[in-house]
Amino acid sequence: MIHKTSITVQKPSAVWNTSHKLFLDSQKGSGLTVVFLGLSGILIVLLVFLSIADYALYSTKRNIISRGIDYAVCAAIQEIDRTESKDGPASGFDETMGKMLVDGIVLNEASSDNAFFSTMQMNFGIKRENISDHILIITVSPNTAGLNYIIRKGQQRLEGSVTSPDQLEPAINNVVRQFWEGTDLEQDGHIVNVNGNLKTNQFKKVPYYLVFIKDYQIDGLFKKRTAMFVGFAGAKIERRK
Amino acid sequence: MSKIYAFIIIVPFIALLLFTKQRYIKDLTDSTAYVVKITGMITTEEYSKLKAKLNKFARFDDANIILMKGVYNTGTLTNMTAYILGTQLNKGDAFLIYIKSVDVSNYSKLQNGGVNSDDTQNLYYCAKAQCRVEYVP
Repeated sequence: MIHKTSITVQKPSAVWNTSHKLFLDSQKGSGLTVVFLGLSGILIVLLVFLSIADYALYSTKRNIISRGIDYAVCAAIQEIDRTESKDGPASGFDETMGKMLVDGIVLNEASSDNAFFSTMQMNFGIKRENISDHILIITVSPNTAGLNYIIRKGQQRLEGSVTSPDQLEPAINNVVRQFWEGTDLEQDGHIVNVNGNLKTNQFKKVPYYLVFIKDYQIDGLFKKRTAMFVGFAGAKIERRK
Repeated sequence: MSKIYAFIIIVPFIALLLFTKQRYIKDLTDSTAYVVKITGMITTEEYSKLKAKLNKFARFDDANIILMKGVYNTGTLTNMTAYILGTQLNKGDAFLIYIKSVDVSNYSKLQNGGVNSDDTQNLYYCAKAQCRVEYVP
C-alpha cells in the first residue's frame, strides 16, 4: 500500500483571509471587535489632538514672551547715562568716514534694568524676581580701543573688553559656560548665536543691551517645556534737528 | 454607532481648545504697540481699522479700548495719562494699549454654564501691550 503524502502551502493572502475571517467569526454577535477598534481609533485621534493643542499653547506663550522681550530691550537701550556719556556725543562725526561717533556712550545699569523689567512685566506679566535666576544681562559700550562689556547674572558680575564687535559673541558664550554649569557649547540651544560668520556679523560698534534667558519654563496644556530667548537692541542715536 | 457618538462629543471640545480667540486679540494689541514704537503715533484711521478687526472676535466698544501714554523716569513708568488719537509721541515716551471685551468669553461661559451673576467669576477677552517710542519727530 502506498501512502501519498502531500503538503499544500497556502499563499500568504489566503492565510490572512482565513485568519481574519476566523477572528471576526469568533467575535460575531458580540460586536466587541468593532468597539475595541473604534475605541483605540478614538484614543489615538484624541491623543494627537491634545498634543497639538498642548504645543499650540506652548508656542503661543513663547511667541508672546519673545515679542515682550523685544519691546523691553528697545526700552532699556534708551536709558543712556547722560553724565557718563558726555564725551561721546560731543565728539560728533568721524571726519574721514562721515559717520556719527558713538564712542564713550554708556548705559545706566540700574535704570536700563528697570526699563527692561517694567516693560517686560507690562507685556507678559512676569515679575522681575520670578525670572532673575534665568536671566543674563549684557551691556556693551564702545570706546576708541574697542568695546567694553559688563555681564551680570544675579549678584555675579564680570567686566571685560574686546577689540572688535565680532569677538563679542564668543566672549559672551564663554561667560555663559562659567555662569551656568552643564552648558554645552556645541549645542545652539545653550549659547548666544547671533553671528553667521565674520562677514555677516550682527554686532556693530554701538552700545548694546543684550538679554539672554535660559531654561525658562513654559507650561503647555499638560507638558512643561523650557525655552531659551535672546533679545538685543543697539542704541539708535540721532541728533535732534 | 459608538464611534459616531464619541466623535460628536470629543471633536467640538478639541476644536474649542484649538480655536481660541485670545491669541488673535493679543497679536492685534502687539502689532498696534509696534506701530506706535516705530512711528510715535496712532491715527484715527488706524484706530478704526483695529476696532473693526477686534470686533470680528468679540464686541469691543470705544470704552473697552484704553490707550495711555507716559514717560520713563529712571526706567520706571510714570505719569500715565489718556492718549488722544493722532498725538505725536517723542522718542523715549511710553505707550500702553489695554483692551477688554464687553461680552464674557466662550471658555468662561462653558466653565460656569453661562454668564455668572458674580462678575469676578467671569472671564473676558483681555490683552495688554506696552512699548517705548523710538521714532524721532
